[in-house]
Amino acid sequence: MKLGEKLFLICLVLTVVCVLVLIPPRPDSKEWLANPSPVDWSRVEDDPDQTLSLQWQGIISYSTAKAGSWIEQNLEKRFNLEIDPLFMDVNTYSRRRPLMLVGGDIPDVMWSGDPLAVRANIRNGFIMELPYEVILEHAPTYVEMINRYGPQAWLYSQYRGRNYGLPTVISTATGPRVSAWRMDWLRNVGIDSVPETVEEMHEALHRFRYQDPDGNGKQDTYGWYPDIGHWSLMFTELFAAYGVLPFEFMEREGQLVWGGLLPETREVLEILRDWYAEGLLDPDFVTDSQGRYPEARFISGKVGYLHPADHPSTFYAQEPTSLSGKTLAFHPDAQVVPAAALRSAEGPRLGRSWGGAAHILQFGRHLEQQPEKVVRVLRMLEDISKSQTLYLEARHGQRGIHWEYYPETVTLPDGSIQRAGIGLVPPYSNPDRTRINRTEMIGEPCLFFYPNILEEEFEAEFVSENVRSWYSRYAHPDWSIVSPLGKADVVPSSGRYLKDLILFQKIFFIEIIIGERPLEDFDGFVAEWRRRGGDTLLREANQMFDQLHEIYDRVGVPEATR
Amino acid sequence: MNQSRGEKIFGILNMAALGLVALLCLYPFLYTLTISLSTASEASREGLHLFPREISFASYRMVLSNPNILTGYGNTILRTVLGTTLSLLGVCIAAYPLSRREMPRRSMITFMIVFTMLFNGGLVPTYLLIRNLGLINNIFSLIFPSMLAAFNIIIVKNFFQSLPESLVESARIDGAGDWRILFTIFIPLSKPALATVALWTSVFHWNSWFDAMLYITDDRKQVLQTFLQRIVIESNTQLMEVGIHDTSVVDFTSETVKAATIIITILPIICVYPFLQKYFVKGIMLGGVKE
Amino acid sequence: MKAALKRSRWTRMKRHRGLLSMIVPVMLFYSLFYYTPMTGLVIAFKNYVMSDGVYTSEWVGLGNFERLFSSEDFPRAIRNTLVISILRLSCGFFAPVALALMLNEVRISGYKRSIQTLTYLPHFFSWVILGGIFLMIFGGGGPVNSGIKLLGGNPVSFLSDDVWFIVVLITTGIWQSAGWGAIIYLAALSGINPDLYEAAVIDGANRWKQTLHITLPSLIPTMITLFILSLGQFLTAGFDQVYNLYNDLVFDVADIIDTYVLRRMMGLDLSLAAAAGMFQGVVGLILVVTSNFVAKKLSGGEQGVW
Repeated sequence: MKLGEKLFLICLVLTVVCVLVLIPPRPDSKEWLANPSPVDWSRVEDDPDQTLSLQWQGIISYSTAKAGSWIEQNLEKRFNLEIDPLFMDVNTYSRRRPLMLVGGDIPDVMWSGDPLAVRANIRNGFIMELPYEVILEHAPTYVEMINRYGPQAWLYSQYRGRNYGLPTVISTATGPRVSAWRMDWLRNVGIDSVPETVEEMHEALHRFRYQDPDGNGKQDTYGWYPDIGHWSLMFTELFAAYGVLPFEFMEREGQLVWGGLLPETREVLEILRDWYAEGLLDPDFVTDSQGRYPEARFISGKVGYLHPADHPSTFYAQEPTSLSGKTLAFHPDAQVVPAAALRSAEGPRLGRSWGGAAHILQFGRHLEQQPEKVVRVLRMLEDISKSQTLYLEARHGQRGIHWEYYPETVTLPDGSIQRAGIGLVPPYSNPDRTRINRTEMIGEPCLFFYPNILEEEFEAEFVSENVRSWYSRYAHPDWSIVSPLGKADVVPSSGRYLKDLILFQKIFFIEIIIGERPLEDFDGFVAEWRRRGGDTLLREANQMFDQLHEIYDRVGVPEATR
Repeated sequence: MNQSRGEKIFGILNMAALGLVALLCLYPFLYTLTISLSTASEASREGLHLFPREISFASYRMVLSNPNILTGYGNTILRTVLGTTLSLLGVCIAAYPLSRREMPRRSMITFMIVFTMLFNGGLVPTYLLIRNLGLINNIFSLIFPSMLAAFNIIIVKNFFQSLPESLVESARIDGAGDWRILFTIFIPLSKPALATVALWTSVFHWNSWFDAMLYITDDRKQVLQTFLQRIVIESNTQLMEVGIHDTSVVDFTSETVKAATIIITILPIICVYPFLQKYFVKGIMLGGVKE
Repeated sequence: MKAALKRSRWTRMKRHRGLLSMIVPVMLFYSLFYYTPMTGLVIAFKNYVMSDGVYTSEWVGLGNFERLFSSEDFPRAIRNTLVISILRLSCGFFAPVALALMLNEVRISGYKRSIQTLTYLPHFFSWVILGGIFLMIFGGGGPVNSGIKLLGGNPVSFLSDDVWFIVVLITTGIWQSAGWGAIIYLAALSGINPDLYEAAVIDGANRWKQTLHITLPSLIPTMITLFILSLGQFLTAGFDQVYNLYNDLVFDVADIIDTYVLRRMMGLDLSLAAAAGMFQGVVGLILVVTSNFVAKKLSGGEQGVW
């Protein structure tokens, strides 16, 4: 390049830099959010005779799911719709959906799993405002269901006092997750009943390590291979026994606090630290940050305790794919038994539970031009929330054709095992093609179009007596501890701090447990957690907690379920 | 050459050390092969797994019954063949004018091309571009962005410049235009350089996964490495299970399946590698030529 | 006068129509696929709201950069990138030189060739494959830990301990690239004038001295070129490798700028992603240009990439 060209380039760059520096930085302004919604809802007319088309991105489903299922066609017929379902598996949802939205392909109806995603959608202008009054006007029963089974969900869809989506609930009348023990091992080491308290658990794990439970003459077994893959699984059963949810907001004396900072958390860490020092925990778990092997270690007979397992079918020995079945394949004498939530020496049984508040349906912002579509969807969801027939059709298909109620677990002539409860009927039950059949004929999973599970309302009669008593024995709802805000990422700054803080906490706790740090560092952890944005989260959480009742009043949550 | 005693000892030690290095390079692949052929119980045994003690092909059956792997294979082959062909063609066409001294503004254009090696728009704007061109879910989204890689253009340009100028002059006297000179004289004479570029490009296409992860949303159009990434790195068990129909045969673990998937993916490279190796080596020497 | 200039330009273009018909599509291609995305970088200076579009979103000046540098995780990502890159460069840069020198001493050509063949091999596999293999090899029940246990040691958390993870990252990086990197040095070695060695032998220099005084100095230009080229990658720190090996537990040391950009993009924080990407690009560019300038100045204009 010639000298003149060079000088010209340098001047150009300098000018651009100057201009940019002069523009006042306003990193937090979100212009479009300040404007009121352009939709005048009082004038929106939805003509039921007009066929409306909807691109529908529902809950995460299997990649084998296919459009044109019976459930889809049924809804299209009843509500005069043309639905174009957009199925996404876990990977597509987390990786491709953001890119799709960035590219401007915004579906009419959009499902999000967590409040964080909803806020990102709001900030980028992907979704439209949906005032509470509109939902109440067109879907009062739907609102009632949310209010009854998971009112926290209302927090998931709101941002700065305005509502942007339709919350959903999953209410299955079950409590905390269940653990699994190797009963044959317990007997081999002289314990006749499943451990119920933390102390009994300690004793059992200790004997598993040192008294050769598998009788092979080698000290090659451990008590427990903890799952540290996800925070919601990490030593949860033990923390819960002492009444803490270490990775969630909890209420203490009318204030919200972070579970991980409480003295009880420190107490549990101390216990775990002792257990690790005694050699009860398989040290490999530390390296298994994805939680890949906990089940494999249990099945292969390296450890004798596993958490969690959340359905009675986990223990159906006759099913080769259940935990029991898989363990039996390795060890024909094995006996895998369920165990209810633990309790501390003096306390009651307690276990962590997600609660009823679930996910968020949203409407693409382009529907501001076609608000009748929103009304149609609300009416559809309202009708399904009112009618058991519609509800069952939307979730499972037609009784007698797609599904049947089996009071007990049965083996059908086609070789498939149908568990007690709602099960498939031939030809959909064909075990070689179960998933393909389901996804092609009925649509999978059942929450795709109607996003709620309302077991007590509509499915109670299809829960077999055995399953019901199993739940009340091992996973009673009364034992659950649920965070008052539901998911912790409802607080506005969670995107900025929460993920990092959870990671920081996870690593810190593991380091304390395996003795890389002294227990005294816990106080330092508390201070550091607050410094790294935790204080902001706590302040916001308490603000939300204060607003909670205001929101509940607006949607009419009854006092009893607050 | 006479060698002192010390030099002899050094020579032997040196060879032994190099032998060790070579073994270290080989072992991870050997280990993967062994695991992929092992039964479930054998694979979960601790040890070095130098050879499989109990052989089972269950993992391979499992992997090969996964429709994604097969379509992925097809798409990867298509991508590699198409991408390499187009890339070669484009690189030749770009390199030829840059190699001609009479080309107006030659240095400026060369700079424009080399600059892209140093600075680019990054992930977000590139994604938006591909999307606005309507190339999402199109195999060309994987081919176009890397088609005229600056590095390859420079290498071929350098090779073209090393060809004798007299060839061009005599062709011009015969009335040949630039296009004819390129296709009838330059390209045939540049086979070694082009072979190298072709091999680099095809290895690049065979191994790429990130672009496909971003630009391909339809599993039927997805490439092998992206499935591999999901299965092997993210342990996406849902994806692994797609192939399971007969649940009674469970003589594999997630590890053996991963290992088998890896082996199936690298097999083609392993097979052609010994034959093509010398081209790779030649190529990197070409790359060493200063611009 | 002006018309004459125009005419001469026109005739020149006509004369070179063959060349132009080749280069014009290439330039269009480059404008489209490389230079258009660069204009998209304006979103780094905007509060990019999808529904407002790239060019109409509101300007925020350097606001996004302020946000980047006031956050916890971007400075950390820069630090991690620098640490990994510096370690990679300081540990990995000389490995191919050493390998080439060692190979150069082998006199049995068959042995030399087979060693070379095996050491290049890892270069041809993506980090998806290699990552998968190393996750197994360094994992809890993998062969490395089995070996350690056999020797009576305690298992090591290679993949989840901050320090060990970096060690694994660097060594596997060298493992993958050293053999391939050695080729170019071998080429340079084969280009050394044999007369130099003969003269040295006459002067009584042993092989060690020959290596020190003849072989090594003749490799220096190649080393400088490669060094400058590798600086261009300084702020990328090997995304493919890191992305396929890292996990939550080593986030503190393994979250590099590229993974940060990807995460922000997936979290739909596009302005921040673009700002981070731009920072990375500009610093990389400055590094290469300065180091090339320095290399040229030091060597009196002989060395340097361009």
